[in-house]
Amino acid sequence: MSYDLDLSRALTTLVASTAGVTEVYPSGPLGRSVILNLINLAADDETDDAKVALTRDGAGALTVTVTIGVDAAHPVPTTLRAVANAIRAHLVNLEPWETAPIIDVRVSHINTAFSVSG
Amino acid sequence: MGIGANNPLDGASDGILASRAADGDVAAFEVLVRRHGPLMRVYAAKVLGIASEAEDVVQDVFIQAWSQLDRLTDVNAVRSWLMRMVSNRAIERIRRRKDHVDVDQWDAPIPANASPEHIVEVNMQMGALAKAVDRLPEMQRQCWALKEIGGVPYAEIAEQLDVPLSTVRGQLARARRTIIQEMEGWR
Amino acid sequence: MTDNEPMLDGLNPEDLDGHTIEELSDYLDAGREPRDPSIENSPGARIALDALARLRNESWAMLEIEALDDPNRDQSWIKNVLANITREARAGRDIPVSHPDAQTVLNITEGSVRGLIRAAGDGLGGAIIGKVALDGDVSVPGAPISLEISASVPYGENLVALSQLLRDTITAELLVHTELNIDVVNVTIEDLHTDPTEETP
Repeated sequence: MSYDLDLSRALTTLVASTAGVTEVYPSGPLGRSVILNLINLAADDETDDAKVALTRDGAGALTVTVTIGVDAAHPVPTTLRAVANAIRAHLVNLEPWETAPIIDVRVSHINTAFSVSG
Repeated sequence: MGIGANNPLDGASDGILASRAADGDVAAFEVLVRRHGPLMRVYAAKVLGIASEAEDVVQDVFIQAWSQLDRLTDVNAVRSWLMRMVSNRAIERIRRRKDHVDVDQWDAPIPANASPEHIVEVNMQMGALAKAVDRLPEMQRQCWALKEIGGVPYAEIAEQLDVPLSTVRGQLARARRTIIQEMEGWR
Repeated sequence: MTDNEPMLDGLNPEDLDGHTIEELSDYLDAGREPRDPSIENSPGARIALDALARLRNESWAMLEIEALDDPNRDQSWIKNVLANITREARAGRDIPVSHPDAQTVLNITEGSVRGLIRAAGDGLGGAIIGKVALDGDVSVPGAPISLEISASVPYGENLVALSQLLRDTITAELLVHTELNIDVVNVTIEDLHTDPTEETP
């Protein structure tokens, strides 16, 4: 389990540092149901920094699930692919996988700068 | 909180806001909360007689409303929809109270030195009305608020509170007459 | 006080030509339709009816004034509400983005695309976007999708030009950020509002 926790943390950091990514939301075992506490969104006290979910099927094949917020300064598909490719590269360097891990990335929020002037 | 120009959503109609909120726009939902919340809370307080309970009711209503907004068919009627939910939840609370309280006590007049939660300082004329309402015996005040402000039909009040229809009508008549007298020095 | 005690206040049936306050109140609720001559022709009943109508208007006014009172109390319960709503409730359908690798699955939620559309349209000619609906099977790459968008615009705007501007801007934005095949964009102007920037002194 600690291997997974470390891997999740590493992947979370990797995803968060990808150009275009503004937030990494928890992708927990309950699926992607996320309760966003808007008041705490600005706070940096994230005790849980392992937001990327790692699940394995009966045969041990890995699925990496990521939920992100992105900015509109980069085309969203570009950011999505950048995240997936970064994760793929990281996993490839870790170990020889018997079955290629599935990487599942979803954008659930696109941050745009609201311009008040009409 | 600035004037309208700082947030165009502040000036948007209820219908537009409800449509956006139904689509997931939290900012639009927040405008609805700020726009209608205070009046909903005052209404709930008139029905329930206790400010803290009124606040709980309104919070619950908004949380429920968020998840049901996409089922609202007439987005322009969002205010009356919200008020209806307040009526329903307030009635639920009264029913639960009744289970614990002697029915005779429900009809008792509030003593003249009622707690500060019941009395609100507003301008003179409205103040007289507010005080007249707050001084009503509890059941009269509840029936009056539910019918006059909430628009809940007599029959529904009677059925939900498990009292005869004639009782509800009687309570309302007495409430109105008391208030009219206090407001107008009738004859 | 019991329900049976008569009140000596000029509001009893003998003062109202046989009508009761309940009847008059029901009549008021019905918008005084259909017109009842026995009420309308009775001075006593008319006076009571007027008093009831005044009371009803004042009740709403009272509520609105009380609602304005003590604005500082508003803040914490509003924060409680916002802290308890689930944004994911509006995620909607997954909209796929292609990737050459079959083991890689990429999606954008419908909810986030709606937000993108609102942001693209908001402010154009003072418009405020309302409802955004994506009709069609968004989960099938290349399937034709039509957008139904409602908007509120300032009074006096050239509606035809503004609708076209909204269509063009939103289509362009979706072209950058999604792989959706947008077939049709229908913009419905819902209502007219006063441009808030005009109200600043």
